[in-house]
Amino acid sequence: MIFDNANIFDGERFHKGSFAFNICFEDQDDEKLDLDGLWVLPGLVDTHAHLRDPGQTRREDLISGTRSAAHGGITTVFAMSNTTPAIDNEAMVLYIKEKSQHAKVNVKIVGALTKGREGKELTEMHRMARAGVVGFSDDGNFLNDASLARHAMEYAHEIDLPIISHCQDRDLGVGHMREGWYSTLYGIYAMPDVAESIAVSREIELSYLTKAHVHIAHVSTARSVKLIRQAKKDGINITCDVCIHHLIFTDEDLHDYDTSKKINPPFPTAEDQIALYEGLEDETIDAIITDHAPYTAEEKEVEFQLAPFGIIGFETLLNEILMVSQKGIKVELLLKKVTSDPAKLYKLNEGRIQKGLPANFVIFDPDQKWIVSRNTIQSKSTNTPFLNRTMNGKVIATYVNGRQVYGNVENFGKGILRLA
Amino acid sequence: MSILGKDLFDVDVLTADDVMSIFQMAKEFKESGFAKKWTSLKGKTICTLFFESSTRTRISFEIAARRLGSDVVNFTASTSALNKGESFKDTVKTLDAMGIDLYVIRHSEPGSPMMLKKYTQSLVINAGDGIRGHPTQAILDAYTMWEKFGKLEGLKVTIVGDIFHSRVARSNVKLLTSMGADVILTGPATLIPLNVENYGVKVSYDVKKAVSNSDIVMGLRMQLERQNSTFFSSLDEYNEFYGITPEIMKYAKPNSIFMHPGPMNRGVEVIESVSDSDSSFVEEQVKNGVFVRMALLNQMLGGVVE
Repeated sequence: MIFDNANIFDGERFHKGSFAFNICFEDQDDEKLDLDGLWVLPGLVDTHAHLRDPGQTRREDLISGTRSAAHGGITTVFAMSNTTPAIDNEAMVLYIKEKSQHAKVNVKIVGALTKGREGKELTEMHRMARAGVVGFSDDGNFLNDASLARHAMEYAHEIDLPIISHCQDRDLGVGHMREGWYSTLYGIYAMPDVAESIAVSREIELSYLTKAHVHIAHVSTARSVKLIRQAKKDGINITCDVCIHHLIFTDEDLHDYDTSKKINPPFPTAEDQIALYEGLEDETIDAIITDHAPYTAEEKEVEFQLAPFGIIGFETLLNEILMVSQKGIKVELLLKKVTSDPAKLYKLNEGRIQKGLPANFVIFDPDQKWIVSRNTIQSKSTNTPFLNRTMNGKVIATYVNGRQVYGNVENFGKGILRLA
Repeated sequence: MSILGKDLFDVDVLTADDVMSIFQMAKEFKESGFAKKWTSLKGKTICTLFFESSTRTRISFEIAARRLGSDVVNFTASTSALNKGESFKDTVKTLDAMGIDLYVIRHSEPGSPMMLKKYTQSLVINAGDGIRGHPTQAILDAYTMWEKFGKLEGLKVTIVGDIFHSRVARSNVKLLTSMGADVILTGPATLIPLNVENYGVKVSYDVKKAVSNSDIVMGLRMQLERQNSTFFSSLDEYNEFYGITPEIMKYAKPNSIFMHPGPMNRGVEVIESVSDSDSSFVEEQVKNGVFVRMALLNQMLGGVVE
């Protein structure tokens, strides 16, 4: 198969041309399809997501979660450790690996740092590494015990895997939104920005001590970005990512107390959001993630402060990238942050359109519109602020290892895609 | 009558004209006295929906509604199905199926009146949502000041105490600044929320300075039940440094008044020689509450006063 007249993003930049399947894999079929300017992207790599399997499958499971990812053009997802029970031992890792054989896209596993994510005893990190985890994290539970964190980092360094740290001081980081003018106005108990940056500084200092690669998850404040920028200059092994939703929404947007906008870390202030843009542009921020966090309608249809934190993100990721690009960030940079950059960060052999790499790619129509609804969402949960909103840009098809996992030729639409 | 058919989530839905129209009607009701009964809301059903305990606000609304001829049903969380695990949503949907025209809701969570509105077509009045807002208290407070001083513009209002946990302070600040009063907030730094200057108010941590030359000194209840961490070291020290005493009141204007939304913690934020003095308007506030709420209910539901 050859896609003619495509806008191909190779992981760095766009170029117009033909995309032959045999770039990626053995393909004798020389049938030509005129893509008429549609985008061909490397399959997206989302390095922070919650698939809720096992134990929380009313919200999501490996099949629905990866179907949702495929619908969003994501071909590799990182499953975080906060399942029930937690992914904190080798047997659990192997179980999820086995189960994800039937998943729609590639699933990589992040193992817990401490048993039960309780912050008390280290997990068997060597054994989980042997089973194939890509990193270690207690996810939402910041490891308060600095001495234990140090030992965890020493192990992680020895194993040559990163620690993914959700930086939030356990005492200050209490509340339901970012503290500031809008928390005062809305009467919502809130956490100050330094709840994050205090924890970021500790991780920087411990990484300096242990030489471990510490990856700061979803930075959301100007002060965190500043600390990480300086740490990188100092040669400390720190990387970080930002959640796509934090590039779009701010604390002000909580005016309607919509629980589908409740997320942890909370939405930044407008000033902090600008710092996030700057962090992307000067490469302080290494990747963009979704932090896909499904919750059932019953869990979310409660008072704002009683609702759990989390927003789904797979299926609107590319739409949100287009929205952010309209704020003046180059779309190539944003796409790099969900393809080649996270792949490089975690040493994954993907994220580019290049001979020899797996045939993971996406056909995307930047102009086609669709409505986010219960009918179109593939996830089990619908906790997104975009529910019932019209989105610009639609994934037409997603391929993993040359196999179409989302879409079919009818989706290409009459007249948009013609047999050449 | 431009608040006809509108919800009252907070004071910022009101224009200055709306406020003056409410004041005028409240004044007329007040002049008619407590004995007079009206029939303008005959046939309407008002539901007070209290998920958090209250005596004065609920009773004030109930009296106001009954004096206009409306039927009133009371729902309080302690006697409701909420104890059986029924959710907020189910409770509202159940009540709504019984034909309510207007809800008066009090809830410990901010935003709950807007959440209620998601499940009902009926009108909603916020009677206090967490630490966010308490618009009817702010309107009756402003009315009390307006009645005493004949204006709001240029009045100097000093609010003292636990601003952080106070929905009364938040709504008062919004309404008073929009009506042209000068508002100063004072109290310990731990109890002043971040960026309050954005409301267009001044902040001082020195009670004496803040109270200087004030027309109104408003105390706030120290909300011990909402405080889950250490905001001050002892009530005794608090009273010494931030309590409203006759000595503090001397810094205010000679004809200044003391106000408090109640219930008061006597000996904490205020001492009796102030709260029971002639300059104390606390009971006047409670009295005005009935007439202001009558005006609000009447205007929102479109009652015609004969």
